[in-house]
Amino acid sequence: MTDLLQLVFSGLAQGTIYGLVALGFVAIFAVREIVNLVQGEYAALAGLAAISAVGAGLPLLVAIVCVIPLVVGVAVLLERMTIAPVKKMTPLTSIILTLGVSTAVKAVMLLIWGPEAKGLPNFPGSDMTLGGVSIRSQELWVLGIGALVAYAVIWFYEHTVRGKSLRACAEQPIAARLVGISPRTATVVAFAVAGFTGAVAGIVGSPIYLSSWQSGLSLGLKGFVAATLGGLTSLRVAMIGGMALGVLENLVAGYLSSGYRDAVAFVVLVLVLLFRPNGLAGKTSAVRV
Amino acid sequence: MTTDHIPRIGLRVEAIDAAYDRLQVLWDVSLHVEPGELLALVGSNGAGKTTVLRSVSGLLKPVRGRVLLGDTDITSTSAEKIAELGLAHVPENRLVFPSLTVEDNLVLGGYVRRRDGRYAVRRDEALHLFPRLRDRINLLAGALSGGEQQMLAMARALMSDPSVIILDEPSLGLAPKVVTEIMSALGHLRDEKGLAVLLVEQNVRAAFKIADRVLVMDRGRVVAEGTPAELASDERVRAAYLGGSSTSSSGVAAPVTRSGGTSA
Repeated sequence: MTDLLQLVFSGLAQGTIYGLVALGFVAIFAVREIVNLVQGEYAALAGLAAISAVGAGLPLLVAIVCVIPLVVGVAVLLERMTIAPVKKMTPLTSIILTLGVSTAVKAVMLLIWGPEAKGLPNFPGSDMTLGGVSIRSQELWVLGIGALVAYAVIWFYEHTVRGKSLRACAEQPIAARLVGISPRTATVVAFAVAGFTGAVAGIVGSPIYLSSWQSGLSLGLKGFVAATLGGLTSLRVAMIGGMALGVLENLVAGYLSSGYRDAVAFVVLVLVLLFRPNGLAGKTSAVRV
Repeated sequence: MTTDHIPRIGLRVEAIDAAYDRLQVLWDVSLHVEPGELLALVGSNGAGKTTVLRSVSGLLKPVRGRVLLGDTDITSTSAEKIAELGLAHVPENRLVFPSLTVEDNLVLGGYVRRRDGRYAVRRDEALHLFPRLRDRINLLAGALSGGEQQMLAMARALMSDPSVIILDEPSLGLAPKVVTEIMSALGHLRDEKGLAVLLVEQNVRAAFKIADRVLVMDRGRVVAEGTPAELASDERVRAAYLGGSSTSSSGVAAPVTRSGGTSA
């Protein structure tokens, strides 16, 4: 029983990181139908940049406050340079394009930071044991900050005029322009949100799961799988899906073999694509003409 | 009714040609609508009516000629900016935001005026004009009937407090009673709010009843222009648009707020 709780708890923390990355996928796809494979790289970049900032003597909090806007800026800049110039964007084009961009970003990170993985120092706090389950204080930070960010992103998309304008842009691009919503601005805002959630994931996760030039690959893939659970359009399902995926991975690793850990995401992906290609909710269109 | 203190402005289209890629669809189209006036644009399918509206609202850039909103040249202005300048386009097929509520559709209709603090005032006016929407304010727009969606599309357009409103076939596929409601709403916007209204309509009888002037288009050109009375006595127009039984089915008895359509 204690084993189970332990596996579930660490899985939730790990899954929160996937969920944050998944939010980034949805934040963009729900607006522009772009699958942005650079999503994992935002996390890796944020982790590495924060490690360098701390290494240069900045206090942790200051490093974080500097790195998040930096990564958001990079996300927006890459969008302006690589997505904006494309005239006819389809999901497939976007996959090919962003795969290329993500490879380039990885190469640049390898040049700057070298091949070895590093971790940020733990956030303040002490580890504890609760009913036999050992709880790392960093995992509590991950859960807390993850919940806060997820809540903020969902609130932004569902309750602010700006957020609603992004959704309007996705479902009726022509009508959105006619009421004055610029698709350009909407895309930039969406990428900024994605950069933000990715950066948070990379920073809060780095003390436990480490950052390296290639850590974005597996984060991106797992975040993508979590996002597909919500048909790439539901922020809630993406976040919860990420957490569920983290738990499932941990259970498989704990009870079967740790070698299967990374296979879990792909099995889930195949099952979703086979049986629920529109997401678990099986979204039905309410449109009447 | 509330009167706005913003000076109303009209719309002027000067000799535009328009094309989709290299396929030209408009030749030398000119028109003007003054504040407090309703101009109906009629013509058969493929005559270029929708393209005229798209050229006006910035969805399509004309290859020649000018479009003026008041004194402002908007020929090369983006659709988003034109909405902000005071022109509202109610598109073909309504295009409401289906997964958002009626309320949120109105909120987004006021997107370009989101910082002026007059949302509640405009919302009241829009719901006063279309009371049916008030009961459905929290429903998803996609769950509304066709007529309600049309009303929502118009209410959404009004939320930007436009001077000029252009509408693409608002009566399409709607029951005669709903068409009456929509036409009387247009009459209200013209007479009480002083808007310049440009109406593209396949329901020629309804259009003739409410319009101050009518423009007839055929294969991308303007072929006739005049008051409804003048055009109704024109043999060619009569034969093409008013005589046939195919276009007269709706036979709308819209409340006529001006002397316009007595002979239709």
